[in-house]
Amino acid sequence: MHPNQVWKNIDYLVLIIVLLMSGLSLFVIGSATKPLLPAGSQLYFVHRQMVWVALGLVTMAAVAWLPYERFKALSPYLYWGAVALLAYVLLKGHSALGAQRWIQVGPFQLQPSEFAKIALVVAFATHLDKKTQLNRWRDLVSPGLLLLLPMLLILKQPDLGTALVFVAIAGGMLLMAGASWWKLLIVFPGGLVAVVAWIYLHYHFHVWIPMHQYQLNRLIIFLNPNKDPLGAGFNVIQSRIAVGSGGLFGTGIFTAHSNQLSYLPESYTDFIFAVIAEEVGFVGSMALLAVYLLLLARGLFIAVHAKDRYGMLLAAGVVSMFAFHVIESAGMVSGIMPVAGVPLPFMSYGGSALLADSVGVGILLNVYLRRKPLSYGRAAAGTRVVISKNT
Amino acid sequence: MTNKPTLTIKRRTFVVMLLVGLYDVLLLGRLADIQGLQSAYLKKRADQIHFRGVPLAPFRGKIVDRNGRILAGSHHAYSVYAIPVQTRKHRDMEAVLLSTMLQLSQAKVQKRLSRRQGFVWVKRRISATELESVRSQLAALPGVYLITETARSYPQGELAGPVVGFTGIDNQGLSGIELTYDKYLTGKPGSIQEEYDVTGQSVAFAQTRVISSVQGDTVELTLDDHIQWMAERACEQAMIQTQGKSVSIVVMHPKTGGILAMAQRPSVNPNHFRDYSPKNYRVLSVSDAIPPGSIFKPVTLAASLEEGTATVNSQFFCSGFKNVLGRRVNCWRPQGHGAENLAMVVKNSCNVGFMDLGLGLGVDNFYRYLEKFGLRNRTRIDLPGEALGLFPAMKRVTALDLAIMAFGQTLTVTPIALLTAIAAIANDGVLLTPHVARRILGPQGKVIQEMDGAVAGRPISPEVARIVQRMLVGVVGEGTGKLAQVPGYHIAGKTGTAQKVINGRTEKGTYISSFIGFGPVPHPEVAVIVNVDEPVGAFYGGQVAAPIFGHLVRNIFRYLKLPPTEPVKPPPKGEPAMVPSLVNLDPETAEQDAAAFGFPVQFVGRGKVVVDQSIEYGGYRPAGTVLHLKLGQNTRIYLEWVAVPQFRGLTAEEAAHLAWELGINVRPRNSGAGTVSRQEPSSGTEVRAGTAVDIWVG
Repeated sequence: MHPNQVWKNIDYLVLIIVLLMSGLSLFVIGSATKPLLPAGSQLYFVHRQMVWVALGLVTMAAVAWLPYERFKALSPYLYWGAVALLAYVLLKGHSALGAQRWIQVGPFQLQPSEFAKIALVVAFATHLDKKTQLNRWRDLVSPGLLLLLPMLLILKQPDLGTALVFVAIAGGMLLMAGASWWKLLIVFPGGLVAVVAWIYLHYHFHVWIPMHQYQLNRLIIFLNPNKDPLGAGFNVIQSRIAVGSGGLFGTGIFTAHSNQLSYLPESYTDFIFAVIAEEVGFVGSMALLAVYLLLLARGLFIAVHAKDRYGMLLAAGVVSMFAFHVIESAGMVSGIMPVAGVPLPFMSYGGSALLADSVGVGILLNVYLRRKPLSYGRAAAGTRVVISKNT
Repeated sequence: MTNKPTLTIKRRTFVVMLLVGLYDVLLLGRLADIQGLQSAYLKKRADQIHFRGVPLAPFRGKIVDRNGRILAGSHHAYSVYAIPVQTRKHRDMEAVLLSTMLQLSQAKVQKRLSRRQGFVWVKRRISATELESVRSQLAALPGVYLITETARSYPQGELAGPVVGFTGIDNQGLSGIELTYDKYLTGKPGSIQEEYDVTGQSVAFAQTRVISSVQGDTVELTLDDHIQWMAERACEQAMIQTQGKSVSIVVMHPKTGGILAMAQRPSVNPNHFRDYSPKNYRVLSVSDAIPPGSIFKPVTLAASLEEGTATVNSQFFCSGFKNVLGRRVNCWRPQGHGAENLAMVVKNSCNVGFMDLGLGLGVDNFYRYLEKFGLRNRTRIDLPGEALGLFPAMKRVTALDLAIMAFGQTLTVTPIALLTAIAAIANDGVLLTPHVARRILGPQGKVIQEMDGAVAGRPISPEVARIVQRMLVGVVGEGTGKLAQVPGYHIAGKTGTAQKVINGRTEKGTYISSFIGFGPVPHPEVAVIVNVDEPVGAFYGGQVAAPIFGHLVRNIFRYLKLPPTEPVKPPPKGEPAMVPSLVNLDPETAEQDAAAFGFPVQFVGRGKVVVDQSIEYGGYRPAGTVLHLKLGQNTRIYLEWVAVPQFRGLTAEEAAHLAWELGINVRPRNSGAGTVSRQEPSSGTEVRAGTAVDIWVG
């Protein structure tokens, strides 16, 4: 593709949103990490994140450049590479916060589960692109196996949040791929109901459950954080207090007290929405959510206007990933979702997540660059043939 | 070739968008709930968690007399504190300034201002001069602040000490009015709060804020500091003259039940209450029930007249004793009073006559009137520790008990309860609730509560009350209470000499001499009770307590500017006349008073007040005898310690007068015009009586 064509066809809306949020994230991270750092090196995390943002932009450009049809060939390498890394991390990884998630690469720690998300999106798209018959139960077996292998490895770390991202990606892509409505309803919401029922039975009838008690407590404490205000409920209570203290217009950036006094744990990663909500208030956090909504809507727009089924599926996977991140991250901080930490895209501190998000946006840009022409001339009819081939 | 897949995609896209949108609405609702509805509460929670505070003692409310004179105040003790982060820019300059103003080493100030803390004290309880210099420089000292701390002081010292009471180390009321009205006086504490991080460490950027305390309400007493002053002086003189164990005086306003003065010896100076025995803390008139003796008789009299068991025409005969149930009970006059009518029984304070009255009433009636006059219950005066009078159980009362109770023995009452009962007679039969606090005033002087004139009952009719008043006037005019006379006014009163009951037995030779009365009749302005416990030498109430009463009431009437109702007729020359007390009067008034009693005076020395008189008061001398009065610079003898008042704003003359009243002096250090601008020592400082306070005028 000629560079001129790229500049003409690139999706500036997504690009602007990403650049805007990456820029904002530097301020938010700066504010969130201020109390953690000694005077004089208070921009440590900001500087690191700037490096990640730069790397992310380069990656994004690279991913956007490569015609996405080529991903099909890369797909098995990506998928099995991710599975191998996840297995490796379980065996040799660097553990923190009671979980083994990281591998050391030079001065940085990488989190393979973040890249595995992208691998799953590509693998799923490649698989579903070929698999057009999705109406029977047995049609769901192979996608299911594709999902379960990396997901169980991540659950073993344990990293519930990221595992759930995998479920969301799979669900979203299957939905868009045209799998049977009611079968998906049974598998996904039905599965959720089953898990809730299982936990309920565990608490009331002591049915065995494959989880540690503390994990379970952390999962359900959001329902009543005051049960254990200094233990499992601490995060939930403190983030609710922080969010509430923000009020309508917030306390102003760099002034959030709950954060500045270190009452918010993980304030610069998974709980960063609490810092935002406290500093910019209801109005500011609503504006941020609106921007995310715009990003998601634009992502879906790109999916719908993809020139082929493969592009549509890739975009849908990326949108599903972002959607779950935003829903969980903001919901957890607001106390309407269980505590299962996932970063807020383009806001939370963290290189792996930012790179994965950048790749995701790169895919979106890629698909949009090669969209079907908007004019409904012959060329348009031609692209339709490509899609109809899949029926 | 169909559009179906595209349609499916579009439809499903729409569903996905719809679900995400719905979730966003849910999230919006939740955030609106937390950040809108619950925001204030959560902010408070956050502050509760983040801030830890140093409590700031509130300014305790004042206790003032009915003229607004401060009896208990809190003086400002100023302290200087700093919020170090706010001094960052000009720290060196500020350290220099502060160290010179507060006499601290510069390095020390610098170190304090550099601390990584939200709040540091620079210097606490600074002097008045330091305060003035800091205050004038405050604008040049960013991050440096003045804060008021409080300490209680009693500018009038011993004046009404036990009544006013005192407070403990935390400014909490411990006795007297300070205790009764503690909840009004306390005020609301504030705090200096600082943020701490999650590990409890103070942090450099922490916010500090000061929640100012709310001053307590002012309690305005019914006490009149001038009358209290006179009563204190009367107590002091009585102690010297009678060598008694204790003296107590209560002055009540019979129309409202308000206590105008409540004095006693021994007493306490609340500024130094720890130097006194805890016994002195008690308000004797309230906390001690004592046998009243004859001053109880007006109650028996009023009850008999009201019940009709006796009339003004009833006839009595006293042979010096009466046999009741085989026991011989003596009248105080062994030779008896002979045939008497009711008025004479009262005038003579004849025990036999009163035994007849009591027996005529009967036990049921007698107890009923005790109840009606409020003597069987506490008066519910607003002072702590009120005692309850003791009476024999009604069912076991014999005729003998009744006969003796009728003249005030075998039973005990508190002086305040009896005075309240007698004040009901003075108030034409309306019994009021006695009280020391008149009003409670809020911050802007808004009246929060008023206590005057709470009616507690109507034991007798106005007609009977007036008959009793007249008979009691007879006691002072011609009977046992002559020494209580006040020239120019009708005074009603009753003398009493009670035998003390020790361990359940009446003790021979130990007496309580007392006088109760009111005036001027028929429109009494004051009702007064005087008790002298175990006077040495003369012990009859008519000799010991009546002159104290007379002298005090004379002074009170003069202070109240009551016009005389009767012509003043000095006794003719040569006839025996009572020597009045003239000590502490100014020469002019002393001369007038002496003339009213029939004595010319001659002054010795120079001065503003009479400090001594050549003939003791209370004695009799032929009218016309010259009294020599020594003049001097005497001040109020009962004050040992005085809290220096605020002179600022007064003229030099006013300041001098105020100082004189308090028993200290002022020494002008310049000859400016206008009002006092500066004083040393500052207000609230305790100094010994007689100390000179330097003032600068203009």
